[in-house]
Amino acid sequence: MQRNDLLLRQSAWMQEVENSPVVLSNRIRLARNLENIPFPHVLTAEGAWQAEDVLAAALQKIEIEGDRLTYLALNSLPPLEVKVLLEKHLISLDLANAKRPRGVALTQDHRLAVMVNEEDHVRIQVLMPGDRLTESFRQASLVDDALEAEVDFCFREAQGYLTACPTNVGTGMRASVMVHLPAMVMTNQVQQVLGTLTQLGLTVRGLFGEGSQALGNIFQLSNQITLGKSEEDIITHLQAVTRQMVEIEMTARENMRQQASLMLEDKIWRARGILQNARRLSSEEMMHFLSMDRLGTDMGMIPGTGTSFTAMLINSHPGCLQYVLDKELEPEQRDEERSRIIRAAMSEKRGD
Amino acid sequence: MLCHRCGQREASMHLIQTVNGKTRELYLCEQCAKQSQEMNPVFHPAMGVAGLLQALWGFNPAVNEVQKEENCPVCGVSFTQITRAGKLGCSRCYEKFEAQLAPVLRRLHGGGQHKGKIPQRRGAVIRDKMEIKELKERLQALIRQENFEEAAGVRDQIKGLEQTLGVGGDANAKE
Repeated sequence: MQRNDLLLRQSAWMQEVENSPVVLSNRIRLARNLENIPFPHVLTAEGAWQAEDVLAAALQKIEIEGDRLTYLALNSLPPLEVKVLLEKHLISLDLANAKRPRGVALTQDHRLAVMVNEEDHVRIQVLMPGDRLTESFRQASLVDDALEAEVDFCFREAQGYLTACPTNVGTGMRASVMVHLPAMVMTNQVQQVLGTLTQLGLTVRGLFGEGSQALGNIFQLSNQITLGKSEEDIITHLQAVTRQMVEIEMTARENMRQQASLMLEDKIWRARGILQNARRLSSEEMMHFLSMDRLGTDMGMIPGTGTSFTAMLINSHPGCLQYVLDKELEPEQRDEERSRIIRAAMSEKRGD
Repeated sequence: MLCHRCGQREASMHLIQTVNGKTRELYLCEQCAKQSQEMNPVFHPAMGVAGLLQALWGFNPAVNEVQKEENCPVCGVSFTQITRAGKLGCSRCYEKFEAQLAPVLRRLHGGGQHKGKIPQRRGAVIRDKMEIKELKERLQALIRQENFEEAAGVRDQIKGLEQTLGVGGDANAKE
């Protein structure tokens, strides 16, 4: 019962924030490893159990602004609940698929999600709406300190925090922002612009991370380099690039408004029409039309709805859908149920 | 074990040769191994994600691997295994394979040492050392600016910190 309540709660990172039409959310991830224990991928089952025990105990003592962490051992969780955690971005695909003892500790508002025995023993994640990465890092760092009071983390003066994969060594930090770039996609600028980001030491991925397509015109930008730069420098750099990305997107939106206003309006109103009236919606369709709808709302072309864009996008994925309705659904039934919840969400008025 | 090729000298190298997907293992002495490496042509197999990752680590499956395999004393993982998995086995691997890892870290992060957070509890000494380093850089800058008054203050700060750490000697090495 209690776990059900925890999983169904609205994640803080999916909330709408004022004046952030492009940056939807941000995330800070810190990788940490226990001293004197092999990294999870070479650990024996017993070793992994031990690491999990130690970390779960330490994690459950942690409280952030009065919100205490709850530890969920993934090995004893039904597969559907693992899927919900994955769709809500609270755990990674690697953690979901791993067989070894592993888990995640969550706050009630899902802003903090600490993975245990992922690629590294500890992956502290803070997920927040908007672009305030500095605040997210501050919170992640507090959790890091609280954990370090209980356990010893691998750290060397020259290499910083040691991680299983050398791509994370140093700060162990991956800072990322989730951005919505429909106008850049529609004006065919996105490939070219995002392509230059690798030269700036950043990585671009789709909504669901590595290897996922940029469905719904949503992209994740994150830092590539973790060694030789401080957390502040990494965040400042990512924010500077993000600001430029926002500018390019906003310019593209204005250009479209001026040069192809009718085409744009037509696309946006059609999207709204389908979302409000369709009796079946596939995931891809939904993401495409929600993206257009959100663009129209941002540009003041159509009235806003009461529900958050990101929440609609995430909560109508197969796992979340089945979990909320508490029944297994065939793909066709999912499309039907999806259209039902989107219709309901679209008819809510802003401020209701 | 004697060298598979000359049959005379003691084999010190383990050679894994992959040609057209067929793997052959050889134990060679140092001299024969060198020769064999020079003679073999290098060709590029179709590069998948795995190939790209391995290339990043400076590992090409089409090229002969010639190395003395040593294992990490803590987790037992060898550098070949690390290369294949793209992951180290434990914190000790970072010391054990430091030399092989250095170019990988350079490629990934462009070189440089850790800057940034130091553990709150266990990092007290390191934090002091870092502060000394920063103060020394500041001292140099102040001297360049001929701001000797402030420089003297910074120098005293450095001395103070070094005393608490119990080190000294090189404090004024660069006057």
